[in-house]
Amino acid sequence: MVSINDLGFSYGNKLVLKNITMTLEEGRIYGLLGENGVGKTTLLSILCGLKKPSAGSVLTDGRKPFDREPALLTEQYYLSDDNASVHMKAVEYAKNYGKFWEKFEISKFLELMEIFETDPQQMMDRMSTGQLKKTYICFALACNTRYLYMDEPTNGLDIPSKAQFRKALAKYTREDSVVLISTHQVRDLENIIDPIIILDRQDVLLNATLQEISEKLYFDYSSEVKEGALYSELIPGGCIQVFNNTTGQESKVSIEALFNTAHKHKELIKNVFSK
Amino acid sequence: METNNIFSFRRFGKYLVSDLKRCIANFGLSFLVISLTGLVCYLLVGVISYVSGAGWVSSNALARSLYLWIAFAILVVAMPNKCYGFITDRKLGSNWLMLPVSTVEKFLSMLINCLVIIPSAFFLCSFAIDWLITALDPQLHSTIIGSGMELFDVIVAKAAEESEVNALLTNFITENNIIFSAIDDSMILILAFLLGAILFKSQKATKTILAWFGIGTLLSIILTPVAIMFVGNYDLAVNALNSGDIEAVTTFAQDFISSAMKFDTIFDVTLLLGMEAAIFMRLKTIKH
Repeated sequence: MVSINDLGFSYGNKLVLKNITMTLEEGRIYGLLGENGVGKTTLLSILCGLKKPSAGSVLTDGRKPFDREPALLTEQYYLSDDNASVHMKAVEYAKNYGKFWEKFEISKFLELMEIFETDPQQMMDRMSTGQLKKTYICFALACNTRYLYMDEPTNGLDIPSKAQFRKALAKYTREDSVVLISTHQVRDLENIIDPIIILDRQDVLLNATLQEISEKLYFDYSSEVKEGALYSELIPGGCIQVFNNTTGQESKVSIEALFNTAHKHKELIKNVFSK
Repeated sequence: METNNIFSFRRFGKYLVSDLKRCIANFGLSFLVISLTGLVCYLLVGVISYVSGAGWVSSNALARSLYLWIAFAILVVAMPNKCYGFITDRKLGSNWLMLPVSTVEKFLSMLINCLVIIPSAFFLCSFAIDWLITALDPQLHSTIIGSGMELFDVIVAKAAEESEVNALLTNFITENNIIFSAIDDSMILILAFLLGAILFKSQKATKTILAWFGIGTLLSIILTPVAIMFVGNYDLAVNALNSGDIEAVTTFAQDFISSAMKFDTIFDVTLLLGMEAAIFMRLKTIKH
């Protein structure tokens, strides 16, 4: 479990995160959403131990990530948005570095590379951005870690690879793992991420499961425009509207509409979900 | 089984091998070129003299030892940056920091590679090439090592012939002293460039040299009075010289050399430990 308490972080005088408090529980794939510059990557960097919090604390299984202890490092993997291109074959990279993660499986890495249709014998510094990203995704999943932090994992992936990513994530992550995915490409991960965390400037607007969201908000997909919608948007064949769920009716959550609703009614959404 | 978060022999062994492989991948080619500097210089001198009509001139041991030290200086400046400069890069450095190996193990591996394995390999290659040159070139009779030892013996004998004081002084300077001092100073320089490589994001070597001069000037201002206190009383020496008392001069000279060597050892050890501590702290606290 990851406990974040009153977390604060600033770059010099520029405050990025303030009083962030939340808990990330096992067996879930969290989607971390937010506008550009709200601190999603910073939060991921703090969670994995690349940055030190300016205030508050982060504890993963009771350990501080910034201490970078092997016991915790072997249980986590951080997949950055910007991957390093090294002068090594993908399979050599996996063998050379995978051995440091206690539960790393080379067979799983090769299996995943096949699923992603990427040649493990290819030199990593000759790969395209998408191929390199897929190689690192395969490596991340083959590490079998309990904590997996991914920053924009579908950026640079082609359409088939995005579907392969969803399948691989669902199939190859451990049941007890905590996966946190920061993304702007919500449609790529619509059916995968649950719960959803929406980060705002120095605040968490929402941290709720899809079930909780659908209990509190109603997503209407009819073509009829109704009054009282918190958010509405025309889509091909009709429109999508978000309402306060006063009747308890269930609906399918549209993450993009949810994000736009939260963006438009920050205080309201925060109040609704903080209850 | 509980994971040891500070040091595990098994994990360290695996990491050391993997780290060395990475160093070879990053620095292998440059290492080869630097190691061949002596041979290239030897051939260059020979070819130039031959073309200019002076016939083949073989570089003597002194010239070849100069090539060796030039090559070593290049190695000292280039190696830390090529092997570990990537740590300050956000992409490569993040991957390295997230590797499940303790900071102590990463630090020790860094020291072993930079202070022991790579310099030893360099000297081994260089001496082997020098031995080969000496064996193949009929104009040459002695390798750098052989000539160095001969030269040392000649200096000592000559000094002993000249005066009693010189003979006494040379007793303090042994071959071991010279080797120890060279190793010691080389280690300090390598550590300085290693610290620069993991501290500065760009222009690493230039910034290290500038910082070295800056800190060196500051230290010399601070430590000169300490060194004088350590080394002894100059007035006594001047009085002894004026009076022509050879025994008094000799005693002073013995004390002077002994104290200077003690001071140098203490200073070098402090510097070595200080730089190692700084490197470790940098690794422990680096952020991306």
